[in-house]
Amino acid sequence: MVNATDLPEYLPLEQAAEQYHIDPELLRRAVDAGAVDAGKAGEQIIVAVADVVLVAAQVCTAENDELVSLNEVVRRLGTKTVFLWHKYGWLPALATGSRNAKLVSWSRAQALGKLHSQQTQYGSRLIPRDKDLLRLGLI
Amino acid sequence: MGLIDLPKFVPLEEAANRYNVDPQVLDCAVEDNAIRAISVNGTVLVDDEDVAVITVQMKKPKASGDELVSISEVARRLEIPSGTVSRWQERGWLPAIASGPRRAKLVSWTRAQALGEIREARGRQRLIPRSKDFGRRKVMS
Repeated sequence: MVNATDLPEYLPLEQAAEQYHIDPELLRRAVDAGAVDAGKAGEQIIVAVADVVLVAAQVCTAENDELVSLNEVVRRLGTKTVFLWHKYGWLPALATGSRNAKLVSWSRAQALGKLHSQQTQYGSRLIPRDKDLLRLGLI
Repeated sequence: MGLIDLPKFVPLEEAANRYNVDPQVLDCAVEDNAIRAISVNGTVLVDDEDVAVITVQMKKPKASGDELVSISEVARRLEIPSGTVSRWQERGWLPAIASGPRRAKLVSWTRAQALGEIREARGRQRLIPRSKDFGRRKVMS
């Protein structure tokens, strides 16, 4: 008997958008661009949760977000890959702090850090090129 | 893949009913990766096209009420080249069940129709992908 928990998880697009705090229109465009694996179940569009998580990490914002320097993100997350995230545009500088330090969103850094810690294949790109919304011109 | 040509998924039980096949057979095919399956809120859904491809190969070539027709007749009725139908026959997807006048190979019209439907859905791709071809791999043995 096939166990549902062993299968790739999908959600209706609207539900995924709500659950992961993503604009449904952006998610729809990401599906159209092939960045999010999707299918149809009846009249509903269903989307792959694994891909939605990647989208969420790229657009994540939080109310009363904390702005921290890149060095501080490196210290808190314990990985220097943070500089690469900034270079790729996934963690943009939102302001400049003392001594010209680039300040970034801590919630976004946390989301990327979570992806990084869950990454199983060492050395692989955190967000694959074909799922990179910035490269695809979606954000 | 755009929003228009998204693959269709149906609950496993519904697919079993629609294609008149035992749900356990579909279970086996999912476990063998012959049918793509996903989970939506705890329900198992299967790729409708994959199920069609798998079940067409399981249909008994001469079920009661089926019509036996020649390869050229299949080609005429489905409006496709007879070479295509011959290839289906050679690959074992449309086995010859009997011989007609002038040694014409007779095949099941029901199965030919099902293959014709898949052909329409799949366009120019291989009708039955190698990974789902029972002739090449034993899935349901």
